[in-house]
Amino acid sequence: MNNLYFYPKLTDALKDKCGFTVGKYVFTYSFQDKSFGLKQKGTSTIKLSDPLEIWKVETEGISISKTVSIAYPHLLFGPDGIACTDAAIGICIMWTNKTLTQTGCILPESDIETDTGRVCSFNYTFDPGLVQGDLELSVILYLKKKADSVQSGEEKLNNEEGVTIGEVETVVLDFNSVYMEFPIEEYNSPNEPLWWLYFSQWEDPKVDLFDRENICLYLNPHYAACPMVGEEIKNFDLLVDIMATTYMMIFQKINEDPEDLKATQQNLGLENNSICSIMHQFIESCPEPLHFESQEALLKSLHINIRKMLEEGDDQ
Amino acid sequence: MRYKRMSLNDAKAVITQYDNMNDIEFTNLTDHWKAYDTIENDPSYSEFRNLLLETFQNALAETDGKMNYLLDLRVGLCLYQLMPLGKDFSIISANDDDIWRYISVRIMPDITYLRYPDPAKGDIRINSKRFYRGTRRIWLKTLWWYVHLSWQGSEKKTFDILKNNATDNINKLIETPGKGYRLSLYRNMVREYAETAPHKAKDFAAITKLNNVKCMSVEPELIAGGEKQYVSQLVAEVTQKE
Repeated sequence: MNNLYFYPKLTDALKDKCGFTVGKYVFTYSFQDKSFGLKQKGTSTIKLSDPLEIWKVETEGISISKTVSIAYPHLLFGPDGIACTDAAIGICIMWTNKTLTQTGCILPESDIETDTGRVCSFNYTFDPGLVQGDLELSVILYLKKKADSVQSGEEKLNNEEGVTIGEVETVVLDFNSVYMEFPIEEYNSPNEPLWWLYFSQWEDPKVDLFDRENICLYLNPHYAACPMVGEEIKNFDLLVDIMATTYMMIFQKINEDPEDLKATQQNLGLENNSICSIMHQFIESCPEPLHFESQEALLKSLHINIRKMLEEGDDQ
Repeated sequence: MRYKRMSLNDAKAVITQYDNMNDIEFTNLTDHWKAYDTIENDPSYSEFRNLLLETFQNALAETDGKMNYLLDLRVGLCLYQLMPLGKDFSIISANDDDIWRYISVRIMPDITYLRYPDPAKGDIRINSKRFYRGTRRIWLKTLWWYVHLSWQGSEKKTFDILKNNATDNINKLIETPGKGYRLSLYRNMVREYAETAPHKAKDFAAITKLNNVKCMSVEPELIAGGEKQYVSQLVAEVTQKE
């Protein structure tokens, strides 16, 4: 339902036609009145590192800058566009920090329209102590000023101010938040199997935390086939298999009360960092849709997604 | 002030100790708490405890001994003054359950128990969610956040716009963040709600719910007239439907 809209929104085809150029983010921080750059890896999920090993988002904060340009902005208007001819479109960056449950928007520092197109520049600083864990940044188009007169053929277009009419790009900065790390323990024993999963007695997965106390995957390095020892992945295919089965079992346990699975899928009434909330994040971050229509379809789609996610992590 | 922390496991261990007491031991413990005697003391929190306790006792006199919303509000306002945002206490700290667990379980167990003496479903003797377990239910944490999200620049102004609310407003404000708290929007929303009083009991819940639905497609800050215009329409939309 989150993706159901009753008005046209920006499509990839329209984006191409308008000639959107979305510059890469530049991330910096200040330390003792000097500015230092951060290295980034990844595309949709970005991990940041500091060559000087000073920076932590909690203590130094983070500054972001970005440029978005549109070569033919006029194509966004009219019956084949997303806003009425007389309307005005704004561009902003929506930010969401899930760990601390806060959100807001960043307006461009400059927004210049010339004969050669429109260029928006963003510069924004999150002060120390304000952000932790993760930061989602979405460049969006919104209706800045509605059209006083709606012309013929434009009746289907949204004409309400403040409404989002397109998403240009979304990235997630991962500052090693709680939910990005799956609780895994090594347990070396000849008397135990290669791997097993531990669940505590969950009272309410919408509230119970997604932590080692409630969920833990145990890997036994006693066996040569053990897919991971420390940070090192030794058997990639087996790890994919184990992780897919693990996520499957978590979804099955959540589904002991089907309302909980529904709440997980739809993000309804979930406490921050709860089991259901983290599983919702997982669903959202899967590059391909998860198929909940049957158990075998779910397991298959979990395999596909986890392989892609782990491969992307490997490339980084 | 340097805030101390208590992990979930450590808090659970303390509460389990209380839960496992026999009736005589537990009555003895709660008798101490009723006399505001916490047995264990942390000198680094002495001033903090004394000021919060004084507020609690004064509020209790004001409410004729009733554990109600007015008492919550007085304690919340005091807490917000005692733990101001700054160098020692950031939004990250305010979200850190371990800091609140230390305060609830170690420093102020007496007033936490007196406010919520009944165990919730699944508890044995102590209301675990109000003490340490529910990230949006730890009593003192919810009060700090309620005041923070409603802050109008001064204690008096904040008290004035919140004084006619009820406990349910605290829960609804804290527990319906949608994608996340928009601080200035929440402060505007609470003010608008107060300025358009009186309301029916369910209005505030309806307003927070409608706000979440609207925020899925509209960014309040970006509409003409900004957040003030947005909250005025939001509150009117709920109240006019009745």
